[in-house]
Amino acid sequence: MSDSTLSVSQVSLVYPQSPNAVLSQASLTLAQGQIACLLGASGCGKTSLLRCIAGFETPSEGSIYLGKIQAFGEQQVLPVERRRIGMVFQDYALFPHLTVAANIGFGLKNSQIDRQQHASIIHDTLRLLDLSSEAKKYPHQISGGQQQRVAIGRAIAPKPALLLLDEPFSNLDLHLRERLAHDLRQLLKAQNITALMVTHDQQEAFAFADIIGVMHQGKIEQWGSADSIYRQPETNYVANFIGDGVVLTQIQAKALNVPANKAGVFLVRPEHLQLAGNGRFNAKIVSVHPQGHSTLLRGICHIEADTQIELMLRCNANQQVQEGETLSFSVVL
Amino acid sequence: MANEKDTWSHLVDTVLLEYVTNTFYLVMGVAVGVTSIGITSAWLIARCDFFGRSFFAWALVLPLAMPAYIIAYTYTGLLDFSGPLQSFLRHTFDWGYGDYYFPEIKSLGGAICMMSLVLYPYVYLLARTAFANQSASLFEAGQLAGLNARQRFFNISLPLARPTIVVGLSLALMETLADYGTVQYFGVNVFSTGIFRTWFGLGDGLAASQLSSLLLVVVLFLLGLEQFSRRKAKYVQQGGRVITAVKLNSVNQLLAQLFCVVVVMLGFLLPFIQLAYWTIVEAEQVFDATFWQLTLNSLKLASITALLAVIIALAFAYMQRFTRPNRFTASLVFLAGLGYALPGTIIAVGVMLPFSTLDHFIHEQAAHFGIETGLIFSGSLVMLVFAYLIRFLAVSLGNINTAMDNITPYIDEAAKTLGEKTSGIIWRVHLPLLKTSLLSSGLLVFVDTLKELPATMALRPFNFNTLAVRSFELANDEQLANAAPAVITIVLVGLIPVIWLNASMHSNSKTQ
Repeated sequence: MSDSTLSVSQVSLVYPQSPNAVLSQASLTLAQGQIACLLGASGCGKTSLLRCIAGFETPSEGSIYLGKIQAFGEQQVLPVERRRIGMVFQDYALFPHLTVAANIGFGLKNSQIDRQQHASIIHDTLRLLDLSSEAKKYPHQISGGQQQRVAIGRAIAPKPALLLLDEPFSNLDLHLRERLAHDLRQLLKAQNITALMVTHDQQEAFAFADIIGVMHQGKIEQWGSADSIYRQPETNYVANFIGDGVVLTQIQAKALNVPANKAGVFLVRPEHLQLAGNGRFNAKIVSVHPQGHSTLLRGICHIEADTQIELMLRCNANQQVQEGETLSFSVVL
Repeated sequence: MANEKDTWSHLVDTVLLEYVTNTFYLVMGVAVGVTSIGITSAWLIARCDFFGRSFFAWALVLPLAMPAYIIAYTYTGLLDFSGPLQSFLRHTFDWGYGDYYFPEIKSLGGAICMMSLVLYPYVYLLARTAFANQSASLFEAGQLAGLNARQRFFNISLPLARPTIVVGLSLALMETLADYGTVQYFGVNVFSTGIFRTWFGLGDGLAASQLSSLLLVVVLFLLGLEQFSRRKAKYVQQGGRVITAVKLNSVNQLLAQLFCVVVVMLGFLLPFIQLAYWTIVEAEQVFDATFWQLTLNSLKLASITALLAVIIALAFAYMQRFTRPNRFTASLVFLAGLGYALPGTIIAVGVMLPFSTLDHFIHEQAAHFGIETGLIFSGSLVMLVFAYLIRFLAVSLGNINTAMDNITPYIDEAAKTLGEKTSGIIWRVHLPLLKTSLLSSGLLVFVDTLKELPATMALRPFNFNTLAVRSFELANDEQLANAAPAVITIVLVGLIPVIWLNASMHSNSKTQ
């Protein structure tokens, strides 16, 4: 294969007892040093895809290459322990009987790294993750955030070709997640580590990844930058799933004068609708959702007698809007 | 064949009814005894706060180290005509023989008392956990609904804890049915003694098997009850804020302390002191060559059984971990875990018959080739250890399976991504994590083997004696003091896992 670090092509996963495919024809590629994220609701197949790449699940068809080595294909199935993949588990799965330092050093024994370097790698990893003072402690004696850093350290110490992360922030405080995702991104970029994370949290994905893959019903709906999946969603699912907004039918779009994006999707986000006293359209507000920094409004816009469109609008937090009120707005695209 | 048929109809005509009624009264009596002592002590420790509570929480488990047949000896020594109590009464009141009424300890009632005193910890331990973990909001809801403390106990606490209590009760009653030493020593005719007598007295294997089958029906009923209640207990488990203990006033504190002192005194301390007195003061020879030989035999048997039980349980645990869940493995493990319900006498009958058939078969086949094999398995340690394993495998199986289940599959996966093969995962991850439970389950099997009386009596090789068997023989010969050194050795070794159990439960409650 090419010089990509990870190349997944046409991978499907079907369990004999269930009619629906867990994964169908999923493809993606990652170049050296790239950081990607699989984003989707629970049950969309994102974790299954991650486990196929790691080798815990065997796909029904397709192929997976790690660099030039075929990890899965018709010719061979490479066992997990020979794939040189690091993985951070959702509950971290730290070895409870080993100290922080021993956890981080666990994988070195089976790596090609020279024995004499082991101690210095453990030392450097501890320092990198700010865990030097916890080296001799056991996993149950440290905080959740520290446990997560041990899990990351353990996964990257043997210098894996690829790092996989399965919802690594889900056990941490909500307000910390975005910050930690950003910090982890800095760290991986500095070490030039190629990584693929699975999450259901958009903010986390946006803070972490160069490339985001939105998954739905076992398919990768779109594989692209954060900006492109937000601004140029390729399917109605992606348009609805990412951010706030409403996908219009062609007739509705024509009435509101909304053009299609590159992929032919008619998407109106709240920021496209400007509230103004002399706007072209009127919306009757049906519900008001204060969000602190601003207020999200749901309104119904009557274009003709038989055409009505439900829209999402946004106003300043200090603007008082009552349910049932009618506001006028114009479309700014 | 005709002869065997005669034995059975003879049994039916004469003693069968006595076996049935005595066993029934014994089981009922012990059931009342263990539930009343067990529930009361569990409630006091779990829900009442009084001085000495944490000490008694621990001390109330101690009777678990005393086999019923052992306290039967000591109470006989204490309470019979020539014992210290009656001598004291006669001396004080100047009574003679027949001048006063004194209850006979060697009776059905005596057997019920002995077994209740040492088997209540099964109910106590399980009920204590159940009471302690009940959710506080349920009782607050009860208070709001206008229930007083007594009504809250009978309408909320007890029904919620009932399945757990029934599990403990079934275990205690299985032990009651399995008992041979106490009832034999007290001369109470029940199933277990009847099976023994039919077989060794009348030499009738078939009739002994028929009796065993009858007993088995009762055992299976208890087993079903236990399994059913376990499932139910899981169902009523609840999380949330746990209820706190109520501080008792000084009068009630005194009553609570008195209750606990009396129970621990009767179930452990008094018999222990008596044994120590006999060993130190009265026994003729204590640590002579015979004693060391017996100890060596017992230790040898117990360690072989413990080692095998741990290895087999570990193999079962891996069979379940490394294969996809399937009905075959599941039923195999389920069956292997049922042996604890079988009384030693039934296992003895069940093991002896097939092994001797096999022996005779081998003997005959070998004779064709002019080889004299003799009986290979019958009366060998192999058969005895096999019987122990059937009875005690459940102990190691349960412990090791729980410990294995506590190692999440993600731990294995993490090790794999770090380049480790299966053998390395077992060696570097599983064994260090299982170490404690391997050791503790081995220890539990070790102690159970040491205490087991009927299976050892029935299956031991000719001229091979253990501490338990020898002490039983001496006690039956009215040489109670001489039996004491062997007996106190069993008790002291038996204390190790009880203390361990206490310590680990204590540390568990601390970390929670």
